[in-house]
Amino acid sequence: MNSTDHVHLVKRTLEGDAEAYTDLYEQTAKELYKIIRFLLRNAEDAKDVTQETYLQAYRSLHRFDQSREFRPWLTGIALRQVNAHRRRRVLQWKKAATAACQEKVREEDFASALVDRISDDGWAARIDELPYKLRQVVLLRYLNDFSQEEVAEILGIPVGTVKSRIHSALERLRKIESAANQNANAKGDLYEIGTRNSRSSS
Amino acid sequence: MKLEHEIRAALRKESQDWNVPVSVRHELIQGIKAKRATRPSRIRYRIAVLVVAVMLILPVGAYAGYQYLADSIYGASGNGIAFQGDLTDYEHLEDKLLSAQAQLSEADYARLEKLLQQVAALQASIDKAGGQNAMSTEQIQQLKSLEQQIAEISTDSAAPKDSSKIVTEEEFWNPILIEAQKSFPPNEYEEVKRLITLLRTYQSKPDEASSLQADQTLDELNSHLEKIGHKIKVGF
Repeated sequence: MNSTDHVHLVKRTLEGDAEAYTDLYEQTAKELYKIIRFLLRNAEDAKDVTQETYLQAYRSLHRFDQSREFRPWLTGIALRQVNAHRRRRVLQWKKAATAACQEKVREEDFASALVDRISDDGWAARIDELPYKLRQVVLLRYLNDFSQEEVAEILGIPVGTVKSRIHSALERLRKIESAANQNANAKGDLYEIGTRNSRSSS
Repeated sequence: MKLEHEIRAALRKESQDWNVPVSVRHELIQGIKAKRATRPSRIRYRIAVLVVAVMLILPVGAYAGYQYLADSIYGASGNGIAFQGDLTDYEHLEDKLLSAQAQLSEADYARLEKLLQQVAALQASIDKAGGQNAMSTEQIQQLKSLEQQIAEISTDSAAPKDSSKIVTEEEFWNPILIEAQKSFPPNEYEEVKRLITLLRTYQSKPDEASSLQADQTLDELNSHLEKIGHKIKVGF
């Protein structure tokens, strides 16, 4: 289904054909649901936000510029709904570690804990560790395959900013990957030592 | 390119079995039907104005813990009375209710909540009857009375009240600033201070752009605070 078909369905919906909007939903919902679910990391919340997105899009359809692509416009609405959902959160003060530790030690501990936690998980878990603004661009670019220009349009930011965010996200992911590999190697060494020790003692 | 390829493949693999629950389609169709069947009415407009007025006249000033206050009035998502607005409007109402809860005595807040529930119930009964243009005299009187009572509470709430249970913004941020000042070199402390000010500014605005900016600022702030064993978490 190409963008011309989407625009045709939008026109039919605006003319009062509700089934056309259902068709639009069928053609776009699965992809949209995925990015919402990745951003919220909760299936139930993703369901609610997906539904609210399509209702909001329906209410705003008359404002859609039919000379443009439908998918980025719809995704923009979805991300705004995700953001609104996130606003239902509250800042919670949380002690993350013992305050008495030395700063350097704490940094090392934090990095080590992070690596321990994600070393056995996949890229999705690593992407979850990225700051929200980087996570957004990674998902738009690599999950939904939007061009950098489309990502810029969806987020309402310059293309240059999109490029720098992608660059920054990939750099961070490389570092996390490298740290995870080192951790895995270290575990392997420990295993070998343990195996050798058990052999020599037996 | 290899990394990008791996990320793309991993994201697709992880989400390949994620399907939109069928209930979404059903509820969407119902929502669209309801929208098409409901014409704008002066009564709906008046109720909307009343709710917005509540949102505007209730003062902002204190920081309160998170609660789904609006849910208690409109019912949790998927049940209860439909809120006439989008999620952003709902959030705005929620923010205002949090502020109201912080400003009002327990009894006054309970009264306000009850009045808003009555507004929501009135809205639901009008929707259900489908005859918004033929509102009964009794309903009009009820609406006027609700408006007056809400206005009275709002006027009363303009005067600050003591509340030992609510943590103000200052009480929330000051210990963090004190610890940051003790732990960080001056330039990093200044940066933390700047980020906190920025975050508070964004948080005081209801629009989505500010919400996103707040998220980004929070990420930056946490990158500093984590060094001293703290993290400000935004949780569901």
